[in-house]
Amino acid sequence: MEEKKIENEKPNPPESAPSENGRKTERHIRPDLTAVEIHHGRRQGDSFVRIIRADEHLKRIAPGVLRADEAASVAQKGIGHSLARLKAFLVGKPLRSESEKDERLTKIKALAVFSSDAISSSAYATEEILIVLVVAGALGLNYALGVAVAIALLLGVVSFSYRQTVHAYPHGGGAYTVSRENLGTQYGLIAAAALLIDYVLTVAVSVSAGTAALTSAAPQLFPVRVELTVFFVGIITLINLRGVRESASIFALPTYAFIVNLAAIIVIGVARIFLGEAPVELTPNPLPHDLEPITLFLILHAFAAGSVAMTGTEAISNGVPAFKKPESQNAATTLTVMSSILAFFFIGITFLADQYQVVPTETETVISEVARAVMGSGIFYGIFQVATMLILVLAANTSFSGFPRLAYVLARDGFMPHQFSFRGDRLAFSNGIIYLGILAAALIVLFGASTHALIPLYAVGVFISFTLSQAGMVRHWLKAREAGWRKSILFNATGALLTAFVLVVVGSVKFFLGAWMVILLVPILVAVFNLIQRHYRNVAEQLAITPADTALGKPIKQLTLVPIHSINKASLRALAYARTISKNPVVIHLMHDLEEGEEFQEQWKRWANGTDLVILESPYRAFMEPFLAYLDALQKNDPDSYVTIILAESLPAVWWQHLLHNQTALRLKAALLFRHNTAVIDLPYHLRK
Amino acid sequence: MKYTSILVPVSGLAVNDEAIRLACELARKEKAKILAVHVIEVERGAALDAEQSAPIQRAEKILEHAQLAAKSAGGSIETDLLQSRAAGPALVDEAIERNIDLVIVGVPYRERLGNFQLGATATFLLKNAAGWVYLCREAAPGEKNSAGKKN
Repeated sequence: MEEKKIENEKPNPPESAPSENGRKTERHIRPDLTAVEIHHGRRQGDSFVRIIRADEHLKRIAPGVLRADEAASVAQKGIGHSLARLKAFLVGKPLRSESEKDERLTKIKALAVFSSDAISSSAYATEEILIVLVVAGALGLNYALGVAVAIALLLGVVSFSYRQTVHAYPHGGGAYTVSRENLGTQYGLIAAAALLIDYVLTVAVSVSAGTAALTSAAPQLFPVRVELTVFFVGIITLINLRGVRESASIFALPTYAFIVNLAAIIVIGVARIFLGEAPVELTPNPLPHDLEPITLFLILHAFAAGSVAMTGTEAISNGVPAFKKPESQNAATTLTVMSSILAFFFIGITFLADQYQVVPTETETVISEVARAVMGSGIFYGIFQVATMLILVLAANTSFSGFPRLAYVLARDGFMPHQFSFRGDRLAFSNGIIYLGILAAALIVLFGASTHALIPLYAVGVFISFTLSQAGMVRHWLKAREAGWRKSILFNATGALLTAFVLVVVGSVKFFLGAWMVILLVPILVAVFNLIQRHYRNVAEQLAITPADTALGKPIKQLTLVPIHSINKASLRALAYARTISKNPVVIHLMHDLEEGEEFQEQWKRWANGTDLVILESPYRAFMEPFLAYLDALQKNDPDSYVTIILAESLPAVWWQHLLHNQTALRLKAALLFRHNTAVIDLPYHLRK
Repeated sequence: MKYTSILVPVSGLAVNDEAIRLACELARKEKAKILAVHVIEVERGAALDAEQSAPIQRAEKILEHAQLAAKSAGGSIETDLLQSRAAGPALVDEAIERNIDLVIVGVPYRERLGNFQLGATATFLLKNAAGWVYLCREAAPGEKNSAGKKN
C-alpha cells in the first residue's frame, strides 16, 4: 500500500510504492489535504500527476485555502447528526453565506415584514383614542378625528424624518446608530435599550391580542390562552429562524389580506356616507352617564393613547440592509408606502367611527363595529376578522426582524454578547430571534397573556427612540450641511420636539400603570451594555500586541508531564506522543501503597526505562490534590515556564461502560481547565469492546 | 458488452455534458461506475507536479459542473484531476490504472480549412486506449442536438 505523509513546513520527500499494475507511483499529502501522486506511464516521458482531493467535503479553492461544504458543516453521525436533521426539518437546510444577497427583500415582501406592526396598529389605535374621549360623551368623541389627523401629521413628520435617516445611513440607521453617531454613545445606548424593550413588548402585546381575538370567537380556549400565546410565539420564532425571505413569503399573504380588506371597507364606507346610505348593521352602545369635561389633558391623553399607531415606524430604518439594491431608495419608498397606508387606515377608520357614532365597548372592537356598519356581518366580515387576527399576531414579526438586527449591531459594537452577531444556518441572526422569543414568552407568562396589563408598558420605548433619533438627525444636518439641510433640519427638529412632547405625555399618563418599569429598565440595560463593553475592551487591551512584545513569537519554555497510573497500551502511547513534543518528558506516578509502587517500577523498567519518572507517594490516597500541589511547586520555581500535561484516556466502546470507570482524566481536565500556564492534551485510546 | 467502469474526459466544453449524460445512461443499465477526468496540461518549462493555482481552480469548477451534469442525468460520478504534458497519454494510463472498460469522449464539431478535426486527445485515445472508446460528437452546426435545439 502507498504510504501517506503529512507535510509540515517543507514538502516531505515523496514516498515511493509500486501501484497496482506494477508501475511506480510517488505520493505526498499537503496540509491543504491535496495529495500529489506521481505516476510513471507505460512509456518514458508519459509520467503524469494525479491530484487527489483527500476529502470530498473540504474543497480546495486556492493553495492553502479549503472550503467546507454543507456535509462538512454538520455532524455526519451520532446524536449530533440526528439533532442536525431535526434542526434542518424545523428551520430548513443551511444556506451559504453568499446566498445572503438572495435573502434580500423586494419592496413588496419588505412591506409585509417591516410594516405589519405599524399597519396592524390601525386595528386598535382609533379605539384607544375613543376609550379616552368617551368619558366626555358624544362631544368628546367629536374630537377623535382631529386627534387622529394630528397623529397622522406627526406620523408624516416622523416618517419623512426616517426617510432622510434611511438615505443618510444606508447600512441601517436605527435610532441607536443615529443617536450614537450624533449625540454620543450613551444616548445611542438609551435608544437601543428603549427599542429592545419595545420589541419584546410588541411581540408580547401583539400575539396576546391575536390570541384574544381567537378566544373571543372560541371562549372555550380562554383557560389555555397563555399556553396558546406562547405556542404562537414559538411558531413565529421558528418561521423567522427559517430566514428573512421565507418568513416574508409566509407573512405576506395575511398582511396584504388585511390591507385589501380594510381598504375596501374604508372606500365603500366613505362612498356610502357620501351617498347618504344608512349603516348596514350597527349596535347602538350607550354612552357613560357620568361625563367629564373636555380638557386639554383629556385631548392630550387621547393623543398619547392614539400614538400607539406609530409603533413600528422605525423598523424600516433599522433594516435597510435587508432590502434589495438600491437599498436606501427601496427602503425609503417602502417607508412612504407604509406610512401612507397607515395614515389612510387610521384616519379612514376614525372618520367612519365618527360618522357612524361608534362608541367603544368591552365586548366588541371599534374596527369590528365599523366593518359591520359598512359590510354587515356576512362572509366578508368573517374574512376581515380573521385577517385582523392574523395581522395582529404577525405584527410580532416586525420585532423579529428589528430585535435581532439591533442586537447584532450592538454586539458588533461590543455592547451585547458577541453571540448575537452570528448568523444561523438560514442567515438569520438566530440568537437574537431565539432570545426575543424566550423573553416575549416569559413576559406573556408573567402577565397572563393580558394585553390590558401589557399595553401600559408599551410605546414609551418607541417615543424615546423617536426623539433621540430625530434629535440625532438635527445634529447630523448641522455637521454635514449637505444640500437641502435647512429643510431637513426643520422636519427633524419639528419631529424631535413633537415626539419628545408625546414621550412626556405618554410617560406621565402611563407612569403608574406600568410605564415606570420601562423607565427603570432603560438605565439598567444601559449600565449592562457599558459593563459588557468594558469587558470586551479589557480583553482587547490584554490581547493587543505592542511593539514592546518582541518575545511573543519566540519558543516557550515548557515541561511535558505524563501522569500515568499503570503501564498499559494507552499510557505507553501517551508517553510516545510526549516524546514527539518534548525531548525529556517526565512521567508522574501517584503511589498509594508500597506494593503497587514496586510493581509499577518493575513494569516501568521493562517498558519505559530511560524516561524521567517522579513517584508521588500519597499515603492519604488522594490523587488530584498531590498532583496539583506538585504542579504548584513546579511553577513556583519557574513561573514563566509552561507545563504541558498529556493525559492517557482509555475510552470505552459503549456509552454505558463509562459508568464503570472512575473518570480520572475527566476530573483532571476539569481541575486543570483554568490553570495558568498549563496546557492539557488528552490522548484518547479507543477500546473496541 | 458489460461495463463496470466508464471514464469520461472533461475539459469544460458543452459536449462533455452530453458525454456524461450518455455515460450515466449506460452506467444505469450496467450499474457501472463513472469517472470524470480533467487533465491540466503543464508546459514543458514547468515541473510536472508544479502547483497550478489558476488551472486547478478552473479544473475544480469543471469537475463540479460535471458532477452537476451527472446529478441532473440521474447518476453520480467520481472525479479525478491529473497534470501531464499532454492529456491523451495521461488519460490512457489513468484508464489502465483504474481498470476502465469504456472511455466516452465528447468531441466538439470543429472544422479546419473545411475539414472536420477530431482533435489530438480524441485521436490519441482512439489509437491507444486499451478498452472500448465511444465517441460522442456534438451535432453539426444547424443540426439538432440531443435536447432538440439547433446548434
